[in-house]
Amino acid sequence: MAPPTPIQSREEVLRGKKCLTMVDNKKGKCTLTSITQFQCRFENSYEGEYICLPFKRLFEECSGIRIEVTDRFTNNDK
Amino acid sequence: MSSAAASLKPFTSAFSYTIRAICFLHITHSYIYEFTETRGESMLPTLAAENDYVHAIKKYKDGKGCQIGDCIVAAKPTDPSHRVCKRITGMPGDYILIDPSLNAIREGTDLDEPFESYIQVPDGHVWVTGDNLSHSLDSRTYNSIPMGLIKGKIVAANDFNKPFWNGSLTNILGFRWIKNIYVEESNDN
Repeated sequence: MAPPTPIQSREEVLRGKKCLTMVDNKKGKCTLTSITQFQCRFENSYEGEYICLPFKRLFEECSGIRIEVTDRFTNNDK
Repeated sequence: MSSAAASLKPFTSAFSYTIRAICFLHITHSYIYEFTETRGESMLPTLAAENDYVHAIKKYKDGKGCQIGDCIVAAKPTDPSHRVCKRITGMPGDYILIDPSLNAIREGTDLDEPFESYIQVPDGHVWVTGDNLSHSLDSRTYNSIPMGLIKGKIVAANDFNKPFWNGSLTNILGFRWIKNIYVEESNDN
């Protein structure tokens, strides 16, 4: 099993890495990447029909550090 | 050689070849390549809920050479006798949101919490999630998994629900490649 992993807030994560990533950010060296996963629901469970909606997860890579930056607007959540 | 030994020779020879074939299959299955069935809706729509078979390459065992966005086969942390197929969505050292899809699942809620709760993936571990975030038991439940539990990387699959011949040699029995889906976003986004 994984060791105990503390949960951190977005503010803590960004504050901790700000100094390292800020320089790259200014130089435009950060890259925005994504993984698209899905949210599927069965329409007819007997026939196995389902509908999947894409769910994009965004990541920012700066100075070799990858931080997920998905927010409520990434997938048009209100 | 006695006549009894001579009469037994075909049987001992067949037995010997059977043992060798079993050893060959075992070594191939453990260290080179595995073709195995997957079940469950956690990897929809990438893998079908049933009758889907995956091609796993064992050189990626223990997570060697695995990248974020790869599909992997791993022993289930809560029950190592079972295997799971998941997507790597966090490598060691990455800061990952625990469950950004939580809001969408709980329709009608307006919480910012899913976008506020991070974990840093520990060294030697990966964060894995099913492609179907709505029906997947994964790192969101059992935390990141040790890379030692990774048994191989899925590179292709055959959907046995599809007809044998589908008009092309490249998709016999629903064959398709399973690719890494970690991509760079274009600048116009």
